[in-house]
This record gives sequence, C-alpha cells and structure tokens, in this order.
Amino acid sequence: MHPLIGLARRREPWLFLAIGGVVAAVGHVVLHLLMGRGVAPAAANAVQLVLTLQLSFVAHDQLTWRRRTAGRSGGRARRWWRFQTARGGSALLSLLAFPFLAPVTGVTAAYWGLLAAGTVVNYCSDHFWSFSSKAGTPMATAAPGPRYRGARRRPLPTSWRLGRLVAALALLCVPAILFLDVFVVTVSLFMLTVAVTTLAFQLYKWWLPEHNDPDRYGEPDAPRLPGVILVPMRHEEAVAGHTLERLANLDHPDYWVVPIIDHPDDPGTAAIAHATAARYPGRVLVAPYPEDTDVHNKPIGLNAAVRELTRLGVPYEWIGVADAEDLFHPGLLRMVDYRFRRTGAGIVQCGVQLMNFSADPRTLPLPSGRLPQLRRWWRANSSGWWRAANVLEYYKWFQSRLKLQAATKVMPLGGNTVFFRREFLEALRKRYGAYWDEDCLTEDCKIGMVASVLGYDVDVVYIDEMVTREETPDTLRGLVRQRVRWMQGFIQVFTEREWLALPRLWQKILAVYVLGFQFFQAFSVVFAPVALALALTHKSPIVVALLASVPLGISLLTIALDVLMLHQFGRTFGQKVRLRDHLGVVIGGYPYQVVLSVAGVWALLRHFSGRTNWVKTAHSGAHLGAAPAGDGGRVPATAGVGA
Amino acid sequence: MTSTLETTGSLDLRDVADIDRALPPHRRARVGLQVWAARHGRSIALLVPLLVLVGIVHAVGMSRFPGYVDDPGTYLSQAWSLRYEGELSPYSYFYDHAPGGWIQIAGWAALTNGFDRYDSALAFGNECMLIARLASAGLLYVLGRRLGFGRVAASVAVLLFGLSPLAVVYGRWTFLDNLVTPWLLLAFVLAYSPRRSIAAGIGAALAFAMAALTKETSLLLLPALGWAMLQNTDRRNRAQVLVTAGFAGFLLMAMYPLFALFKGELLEGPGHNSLFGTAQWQLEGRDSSGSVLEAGSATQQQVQNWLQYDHWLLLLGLAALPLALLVRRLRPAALALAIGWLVLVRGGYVPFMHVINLLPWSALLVAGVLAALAGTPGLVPTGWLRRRAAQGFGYGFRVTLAGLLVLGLAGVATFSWAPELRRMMTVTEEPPLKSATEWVARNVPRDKTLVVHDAIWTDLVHHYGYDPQPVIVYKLDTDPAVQRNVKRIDYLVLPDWYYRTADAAEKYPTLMEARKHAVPVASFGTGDDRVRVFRVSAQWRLS
Repeated sequence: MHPLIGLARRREPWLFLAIGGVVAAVGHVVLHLLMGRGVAPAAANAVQLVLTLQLSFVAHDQLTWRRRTAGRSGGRARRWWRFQTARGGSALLSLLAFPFLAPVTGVTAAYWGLLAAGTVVNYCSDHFWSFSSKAGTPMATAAPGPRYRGARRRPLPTSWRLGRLVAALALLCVPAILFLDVFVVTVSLFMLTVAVTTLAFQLYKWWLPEHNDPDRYGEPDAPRLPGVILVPMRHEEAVAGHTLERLANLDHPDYWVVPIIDHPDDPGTAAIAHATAARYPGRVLVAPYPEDTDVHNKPIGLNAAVRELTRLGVPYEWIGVADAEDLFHPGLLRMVDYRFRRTGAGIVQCGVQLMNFSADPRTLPLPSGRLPQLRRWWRANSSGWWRAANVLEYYKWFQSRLKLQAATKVMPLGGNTVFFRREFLEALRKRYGAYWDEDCLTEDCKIGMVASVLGYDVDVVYIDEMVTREETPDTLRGLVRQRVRWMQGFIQVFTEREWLALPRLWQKILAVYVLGFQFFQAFSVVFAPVALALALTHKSPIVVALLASVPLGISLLTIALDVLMLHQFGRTFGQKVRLRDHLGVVIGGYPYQVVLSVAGVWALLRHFSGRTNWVKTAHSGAHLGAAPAGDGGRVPATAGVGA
Repeated sequence: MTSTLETTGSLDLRDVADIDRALPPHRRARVGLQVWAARHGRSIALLVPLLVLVGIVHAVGMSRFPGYVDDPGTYLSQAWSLRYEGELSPYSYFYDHAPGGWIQIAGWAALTNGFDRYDSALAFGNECMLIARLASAGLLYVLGRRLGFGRVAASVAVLLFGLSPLAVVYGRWTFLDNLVTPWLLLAFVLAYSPRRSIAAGIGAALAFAMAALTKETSLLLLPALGWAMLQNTDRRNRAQVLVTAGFAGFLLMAMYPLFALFKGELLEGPGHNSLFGTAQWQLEGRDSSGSVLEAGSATQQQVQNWLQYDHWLLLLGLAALPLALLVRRLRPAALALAIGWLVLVRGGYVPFMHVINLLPWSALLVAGVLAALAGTPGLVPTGWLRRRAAQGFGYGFRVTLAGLLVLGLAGVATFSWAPELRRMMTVTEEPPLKSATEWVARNVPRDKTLVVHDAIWTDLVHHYGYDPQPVIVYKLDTDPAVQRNVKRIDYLVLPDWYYRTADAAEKYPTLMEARKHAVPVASFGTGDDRVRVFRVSAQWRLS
C-alpha cells in the first residue's frame, strides 16, 4: 500500500484530477454553447476536443508538473507534441474499446471503467513521458535550487490543515445553502457593521470640525530631548547620500542620525554612509548590521543599532525610525520633541503619505526599448486606478484611522516616521527581552499593540507640510505581495495573542477588529453585490433584499468620499487631479478591494500552510537579481502601515 | 492607567483635554451629565410644564372630537395589517403613500401591544398623535433655542403650536402629516447642531428621509433643510458632512423605490400596481383644487375652513414671513413656510390636511420675529437688527414692543382660543360611527359580508373578528382582488355623505346598486354625519 499512500501525499495526482474535472466541465459548456448556436454536433465536438486538449496542456504544464517544467520553457514545444500524441492515442483507444466493452459489461460500467482507465493511463503518460524531466531542453539536473514557491515539499500536517480548512468551509456552506435567507441576513448585518465602522474610522478626522483644526498640535517650543534617528539601509546607493544629507540637517540641536549598514554585503551604501559620517561628525554615526545572521530584516537591524548605541553610551530620550528614501521635514523633530513633552506619549507617529496617484504619463520615467511613449502612457493609465486607491488609503489611514485607534488605544503603527520614547523601549525590553520582534512579519504593528498593552499612549501627528512623502509599489504585483505580507503579519500578531492582555474588554474586541479589518473590509465590499444577487435570485423576502442592498449602498458612499478626498488631496499637496484620476477611483474602487481580498485569501492560505518566511527570502532574491529598486525593495519601507 | 501616569506623568505637563480623557468612563459620563444638567436645567424646568399643558389640551376629549374622517381609518388598517398579517395593506398596496408612517405606527403597536390596549383602533391612533404632538412641541423648543431664541421666545413658539385650536383639531386626527412634523423638526434641530459633527449631519439627513418616507410631500422642504445645513456647517469639515449626510439620506429614501423595484412594481405594467404609475396619477391625474388666489376655488374654500378654527396663527405666521427673511438664522425656516404657502398658490391638488405643514413653521417664525424685535443676541448677532446697547432707549423700546406683542398673543389665547379649546375638550357626544360599530357587533353575525367606512374596519376585524373581513367602501370598485373575491354583500355601515356626494354613482357604483336593494335597520347621529346600517336583500347578487 505504501506507493499508493505516497501517491496520495503528492500534489500532482490531486492537481491532475482537479484540472481534469474543471477542463471536462469547460468542455461540456463549450459543447452546449456551440450546439446551441446551431453548429453541427461532430464539428462542435471536434472544436471542444481541441480546445480542452490545449487548455489541459497549459494547466498541467503550469500547475501540475510545474516542478519539472519550471524554468524550462524551451522544452515546451516538445512537451506539447508528446502530450497531444499521448492524449490523442488514449482517446482513440477508448473510442475503439467502447463498442466491444459495452455489450459485455453494460454501458455504465464501460463508460466509467474506460474513464478511470483513461485517467490512469493519461496520468502515467504525463508522468513518465510528456512531462518527464527528460522532456524539453537537455538538463541533467533540475533548475538550480528551489525557485518556485511550490518547489519545496511541504510536510503532511500542512495539507491536513488546508484540508481541514476546506472541509470546514464546505461544512459551513451546507447550512448557508439550506437557510439562505438567514445566511444573507447574517452576512448583510456583518457587512453593514463593517461598512459603517469603516466609514466612522475613515471619517474620524472630519467627524468634528476641531479634529481638522490646523492648529490643534500647537506651536513647538525650544526642543529639550536628545534623540536618535535609525535608518536601516540595504542596497540604497541611489538615495542613501541624499537621505542622510537631509536627515543630518534637521532643525533640532541634539540628535544623531544612525544608518544601519551591512558592511560585507553592501559596500556601496557603506561607503556613502561613512563619507556622510565624516562630513557630519557628532551628527551621523554608522551602526553595523550583525554579521552572525543570514537573515536580513528590519527589526534585527534596529535591535542591533540600539545595542550599539547603548554600548557607545550615546545619550538619547527618543528613537525615530526612517527608511532609506524618507525625506523628513526639517521641522519634524521639533514637533516630535514638543509632542513627547506635551502629551507624555510613549510613541509619536507622524504622517506618511504616498504621492504618485496620477494617471498622467509625464509623472513616470520614460522606459527604454521600443515605443517608450506609448508604453509609458499605457503603464500610467492602466495603473492609475490602484495607485490612486492606495494613495487614498494612506490619506485616510494617517489622518483618520490612526487617530481614532490612538484614541481607543488599540493601535498598529506605521513602519517609519515613528518615534519611540526611551522608557517605552526599555519597558518593552524588560517585558519581551527585545525591542523589536525579529520573527514578526510586521513588527511595527506588533509594537503598537504592545504599547497599548503596556499602557503607553500613542500620539498621531499629521500636519500636511510635515508628512513624509513616499511612493506606491511599482507594480500591482508588488502591492499584492506587500499586502500579503502585512496581512500575514497581522494574522501572526493575532495568533500570538498579545492583544488578550489589553486591559479592557472593548479594547480586545477592537483589537480583533483592527487586526482583521483588512480582511473584513475586502470581504464585505467584494461580497456585497453577491449577497444582494443571492437575495434577489433566491426570491428572499423583500426586507432581506433591502437589508442586503444597504452595504452595497454604503460602499457607493465610500467611493463618493474617495472622489472628494482625492480632490482635497490634490488641493492640499498642490497636485493636479485629472478627470481620469477621479474615474479611476470610481471604476477601480471595487477591483481594488478584489485585489485586496485576493491578497487576504493568499495570506490566510500561507498562514495555514505554515509558510512565514518566503517574503524575506524572495525579498533578498529580488535584490540579488539586481532588480531595479522594485516592489520587493520597498516592501519594508511601509510595512505595517496597513491598519 | 496608573502605569501610564507613573511612567510618564512625572515628566511633563499633559494636555488638559487628555486629563479629562484619563477619567474612567463612568466618572466621565457622570461629569458629562452634570455639565449637561447645569446647562439645560432651566430649559427643562420650563419645557416640562409646557409639554404637560400642551399634552392636556391635546389629550382631553381627543376620542370624541373631531369626528371621524376617512384617512385615519385607512392608515390604522394598514398598520394593523402590517402588525398582524405582515403586509403593507389589507388590500393590495398601491403606493398611494410611502409606507413609513404606518410602519412607525405598527412598530409602536408591536412594542406596546397597542391594538389591544384600546377598544377602538382610532383611540390607539390618537395616542400615536399625542406622542407625535409632544415630540413636535419639544423639538420646536429645541429648534428655537438652537436658532438663538431666548427661553421665552422658544416657549412662545411651543405655546402657539400647542394651543392653536387649528393645530389641536388637525393634530388629533391620525394623519401622516402629524408624524412628518417631528421628523422634519428633528432634521432641522440636528442640522443646527452646535457640535457640527458628521453624526449630526447624517442624523439630520436620516430624519428628513424618515419624513419623506412617512409622507413624500415633505420632499418639498428639501431646499429649506439644505439651506439650514449649509448655514451651520463648518469650513473644516463641510465637504465631508455634506457628502456623507446627503448620501445617508438618499440611501434611506432609496429604500422605497428599491422596495418597489424588488417587488417588480417600480414601473407601470399590466396587471400590477406601480410606484411610478401612482405617482404620475398623483402629480398629473388628480383634479386641481385651484389656487388660493382664485375666488371660489376649492383651495380657497379649504383655507377658509382652516381659518374658521383659528385665523391668528396662520395669518400671523404669514405676516412674520417677510420680517423673518431679514434675519439670517430664520431664513431657512421662513423658506419652509413659504414653500407651504406656495403649494396653496400653485393651484394643484391640495389635500385638506396640508395646513399641518404650515403650523409649526408659523409658530416658530412668529416667536422668532418677536425675539428678533427684542434684539436677542443669539438670533441677531449682526446686521441692522442687532442690539446696539445693552441698555438705553433703543433697547428698552424694543423689549417693550416685543413684550407688548407677547401680551397681545396672550390676549388672543385667552379670548379667541380658550373658548374654542374648551369646546373641543368637553364634547360628550359619541361619534355616530362608534355607536354603529357597537350596534353591528351586537346584532350582525360574524360571517356576514359588510361594506364599511375605514374608521371602523380595524375594530370589526380585530376586536369583533368579522370573517370574511369587511370591505372598505372605496375598495369595492377599485381593488381587483375585492372585485374577484367578494360575491355578495350583506350589510352597509356608512355615513350618509357617501350616498349624497354629487358623483357617488360614478365613484361607488356597486355601493349605490347595493343600497337600492337594502333596507335601513339602524340609524345613529344626525345630518350628513348620520350613520345608517343597511341590510342588503339576500336575493341580490353582485354581478
């Protein structure tokens, strides 16, 4: 029995069966459609056969056998021929065998028997011939190292966990289908809660006129607290000099700028940092990234830098975190200093703002290659919708959500332009043994939660002129990866249960809500039309249908507010907002949430399959591949902002 | 919390606001309550007796006066149907009005078991109207205060609204307009919220949407509400408030057409009622009752009917209108009143309860103009009406003038209103329809088919259990389901005016035909209001 169990534990047979089923269903639909249009049955069947054959080839090539085909696109033509031949042969055989078998075993048995036999034969032909590792370009060994995510064999418990997840979902579906009205009502109420709270969160800044008062933070007085700005840097030759130069010239009498550099790994940036340090003695101090680890992430660097500061005896009352491309406003430190003293907060979080929403091609650099103008035009216009949505997300987060969360003392932080009071960091170390959690994907989210647990206030400062300006990820793919990481980090923070130590019950409830918010929001926006459609097609009572249409209505309101805020954003930051930007927000609102929910599902699947590391490895991979400062490089810059 | 204070409190000074926030919630709530009570204590001490007075005037005698009219019975039968049958009407709902009004009545009935607490559904309707009246009066006071009236002026508004015999008569009838009034006033109260929060804006819009869902005619006042909101918004959150509030109100109002859409009854089509079809008929198909300016038009007749009860409040309100336009804060309310009067001038169909929409605004404007004359700083902080000195001749003259006018109003109340109110509160005669209902219950078997007036339908169904359900008279020739299912008629229980209406033969052909084959078996009251019970011949069959 062992080989059979072994077979069942592999991914290929299951993928093979699933794809076979799906392709068969597609073929059936195509057949029906064609015959419905009056195409002759024989011709329709032929078209269907050819189509399904190609479909299944692509699917098997890309999914089922991807371990063998990965990176060997050169052999595709050969695989294709083998596949077509094998499949054609098996189909022909079963076609011939059927008339002989049917009278003996009966039609049903013959049909299913041949189907099962055909499946086994096809699997074997795929396995040993069409997609065998010898098919394709001659290669003695497979692609060097695990390049694709699926390439690593996962342990059994993972599939068990995934299986249980699927089974639980399937089980939940049964009552949902049986009691559809109750289901729709429950889901609608949930979506309504999410939609209303989302609105309340994002409107907090405008809830009362005073919340939006430009003078509400007060006029900073003379700074009194010494401080340190930590700047984790890795392969940032392009921006490092400029950033450090700027950071060294802020308006504050007593602070250090500490770039964190991995010397052996990154000599270029190191040279720039040391040059700046030589130019600004007493202002810039280079801290080395620990050499005893291969893992590169932000919290390790930050922790090492703080240890280094302690070793050198540098006096400081607060520590700020900046990213390599962050240009702080010159007056920012005075304000932070003042807010620390005025509010007694343990953390001051200042505004970060993405800027590049515009679908105007002139805002993008001209690509090299053929038809650069056209390609740039296309790129700008096709990405405008999600960039605008992303920019608005930040606009709402830092102005509204973070403030409300600070007021309720349940608070994931942003990853940069955030300042910690020394005593808070010491309290953190006393309790957890480290300042930043080195194993957490979104250490900044966690640190905010922990601040609430320890009873420290967070002060959120958003002053239009002082926000730290950043850019969206370069590609939609980059955005999704970033979100997957954040969401997975949030799940991680959730499962670590630190939030259970929050003092009040409503804070715990709020913590669940805040940590799960991205999932809830994406789900509720994406599912809102579905719920209404369900209610209508199922002929639910009209009250149910009306209830189901309310969340949809509120998401329309969210879009209207987005248009308004984009307008205000343009006015505040002096950027021209074009009609197509507004259109992008209107049309892209829903797809954007679909993208986020894809990221959410992906993050959940990754969490359940126990994969918590790939972003980091993939991240370093992206860098080693000398990709231009792409999505991977920018990910940690904004990590954890995604409250 | 203590840890925060220990760890950080020793360092520096904190915000005063943050110290306030540092209190535990229950302490904060208590402090908040104390502050609130200190600020509003005097207003409450004033308002409670006022409301008691208004309530007494409204409630004493409300079961006997005024007499029964058609609409209250219809609304109560629909509320009953919603409460006990889960339908918007015992007959097929044909979008004559948005259903918000009787949904509220049915909700109150469900909460308090309303239909069982009284021996007549109309009495329950009266209770609902009393609640609406008290709510309106209270909200009128708050609105006055928020506009900047002094306490005296706000009280004057409440008294004018609560004691005018015209307001009492029309306020006692179970009309949708009486339910609209508190929602509209609430919308204005919230629109003038001093905190100017988004929540207040949303609340104002939702309240207005409720008014529109209660009776769609209140949509006419949208410009007035919009103006009020614009007047009160703050530059710092105006855009967000307007967008959010506008959308919230729209969303709630959209439930009505959505309801019709989901039912497949939004657009006209064969074989079903439709929202647009009825709306079109209401807007275009109805006979115009003429403009109030046309001599002898039905509208003018109507206005004269109103003025018979009381001409002071309406005419004073009309007189205050141009003066109110001079005061910035009063302009939206003046616009609301002006719209109400313009409806009368326009010359379309004017329902006879339209006056209900004029009364609160008249009361508010009269009191407001008095306050402006006296130079109340909250109401007229700037402009040429503002008070220039806290003392002196100008000040004394204006206060005296306003005081004299208030005295004049008191005189009106004593000499013109008090006798009328006494009459309304002391009617002893039972409405003839009520007596007829009791007679029917004693003498007519429960399985007979009755054709009845709206006012007694609910009682016959709910208290006396007539099965098959009686038929409301005007459904006899209009409702397809009734025409299909009703095969015979045994009794007619109707006031005489139904048979005497000029176009009775066209409006109620079946009724008139049945009466030809019927004999009177009982009679109650006199004149047009006389109610007779006819027994229809057993030989006669509906064709």
